[in-house]
Amino acid sequence: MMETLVFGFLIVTTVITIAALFIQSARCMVYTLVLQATTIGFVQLMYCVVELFLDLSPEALADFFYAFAEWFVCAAVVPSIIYFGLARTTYSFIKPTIKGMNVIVFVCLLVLAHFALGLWLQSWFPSRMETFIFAILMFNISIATMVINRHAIKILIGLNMAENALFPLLVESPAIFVPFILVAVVFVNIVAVYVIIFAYQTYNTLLVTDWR
Amino acid sequence: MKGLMFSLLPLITLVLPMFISILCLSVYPFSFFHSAFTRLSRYILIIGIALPLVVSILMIPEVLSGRTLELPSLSIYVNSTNIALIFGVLLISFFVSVYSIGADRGGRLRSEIYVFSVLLFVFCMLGIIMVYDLFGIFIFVETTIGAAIILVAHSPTRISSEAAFKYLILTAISALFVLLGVLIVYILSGSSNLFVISSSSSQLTSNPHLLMLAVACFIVGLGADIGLVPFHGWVPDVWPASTPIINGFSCTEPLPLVFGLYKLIEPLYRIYPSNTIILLVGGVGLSSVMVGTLLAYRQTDFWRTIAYLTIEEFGKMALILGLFTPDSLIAGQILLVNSSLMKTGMVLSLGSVQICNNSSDLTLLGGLAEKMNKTMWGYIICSLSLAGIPPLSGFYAKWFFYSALHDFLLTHVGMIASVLVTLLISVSIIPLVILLRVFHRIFLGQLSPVSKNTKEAPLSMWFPGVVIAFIAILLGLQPNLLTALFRSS
Repeated sequence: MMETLVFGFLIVTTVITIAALFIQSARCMVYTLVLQATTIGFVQLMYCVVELFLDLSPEALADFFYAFAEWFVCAAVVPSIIYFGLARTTYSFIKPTIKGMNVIVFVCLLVLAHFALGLWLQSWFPSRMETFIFAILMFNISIATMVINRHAIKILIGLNMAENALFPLLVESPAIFVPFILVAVVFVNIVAVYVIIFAYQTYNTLLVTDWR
Repeated sequence: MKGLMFSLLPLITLVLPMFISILCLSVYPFSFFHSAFTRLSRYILIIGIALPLVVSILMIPEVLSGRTLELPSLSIYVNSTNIALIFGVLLISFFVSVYSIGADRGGRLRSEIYVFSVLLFVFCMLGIIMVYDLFGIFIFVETTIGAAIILVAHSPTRISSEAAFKYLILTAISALFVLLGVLIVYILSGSSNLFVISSSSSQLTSNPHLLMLAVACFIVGLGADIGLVPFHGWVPDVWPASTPIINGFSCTEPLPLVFGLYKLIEPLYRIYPSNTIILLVGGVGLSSVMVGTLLAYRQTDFWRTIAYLTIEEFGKMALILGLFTPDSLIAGQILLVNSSLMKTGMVLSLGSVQICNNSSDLTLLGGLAEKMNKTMWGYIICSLSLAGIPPLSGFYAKWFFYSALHDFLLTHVGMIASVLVTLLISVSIIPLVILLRVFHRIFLGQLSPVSKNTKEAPLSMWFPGVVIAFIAILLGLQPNLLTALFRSS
């Protein structure tokens, strides 16, 4: 069985991801991204800290370093890049296209569907992938956040939330690739913010539906 | 010692563009270098691509002798299955960099960033082809997307920002699917090396549902990066929004991305040879052929026409490589290299038309045959080759394509194979009609008012197109030159 602590943190992260669907201000959504990334990486980081104190080996130190780097990039570097983009554009308050009761119904259906899927998968899923269903649920909610928003920066935040959703699986990846993956993630975010700023300068709005 | 030296050649080929791109980026903070760099940037770009091209040529005899140049610690392998693609990427990039001498009209980016992005793009594409590691492929795919988006946004046109953003969102989501597929395969198999995965597969075969999920993730992920139907939404927007030079560089994209898709799915098919995998890849490929062909005809902007024909070509590549037979691998590689090369010739010629006439609208152009005759020859020969007309190189590409497809279908559906292949050949006449229509609209008929003062493009702009046309004729008359690169695979 999944450890209670991990389970608890995954539920908290899922709730934060769901909250992003209802947020109207782009600035608040950046804070939500920070919160989501912080909670999702926290458990792994704490595991590495405990392991480092128990076993002061170079491997444990390396694991801690990689976990911290992942957490720091997702929770601090990427939101800072997005916040920079937000600061370079005019503050705008654009509501999502779908809101209120419709979103609540949608989220309930999504959670129920994933719960049913989780029960079905439980019998043949390997134990190393027990967080998979949470990752997929958060991923799908983040994609929904991207779909219902017309604000370019909110769409980018949704994209990063979807990326963070894969974090519970990403911790299984070989440590050697972690720095490269993080560099690629930061690079894509810099490019994205740069494109949004250009688009804003061209169209004078961050509303993607008006970019024509 | 000599063996070790040759083993390092793939790494040198890979690192050279990256090294030069970092050098270019390091100049960026020094504003006093800016004007000198801007003047030299086109030549630096040529050098940055010519050097790895020369190194890749040095690898060809070694690979043709049956040797695999490998650096197992970095999961880099160059053998007969990928040498032609490496050479193809660098040759096409070289032609485009020569073209950029005359065609470069500047853009939003400073020249240091522009050259950095182009060389980074080339580096990543070589990485996707050479690296046989799941995470390595994902990192290169993600970085390729980043570089490609910067290049699209470089175009000073109004529509480029929107197209770049659309491209970014669709391909970034798709990269997450690639990552998800990579993580599933890695967690199940315990290795990220594709050769190890295909040789030790007990965990994967015991979880066929997860294996199929990984395959689906790869198809969705790389399918969107390539521009296969139904993930093709960004393609018709990005082509008209980019500069002709960037469109030229984009012609190299199918080589690594389609091959990357093949590399990721093939080991999974080997250990779990399910027809569902063939149906998934083939279905996406076939629908791309149909949708691309049908939508290309209605367009009035020639870049949009080319965009839809590109989707059609991608579909054919995915369809043939997705059969996972030895013949289909050879046919797929020949089709990949030939289509990319011929499309480059067409795109560069059309780019010259756009630059010289300030328009890509087929309804406004006409009668350029006399004024731009060298460009015209470049376009028509490459178009005919792309359509598979003998005695041009494309004829052999199409011959191998239909032959491999027919052989595969014959073993699976019997005599209906001939009917299906005949149907597909009939459909493939439509792109020929479309390409001839574009030719007719641009080069034949009466001279249009927008082209009254038009002159032939400069030497550096028409020359690459004419050389590619010459290659089409040469390979058409001597197909052994082309097939020798693939035969040993």
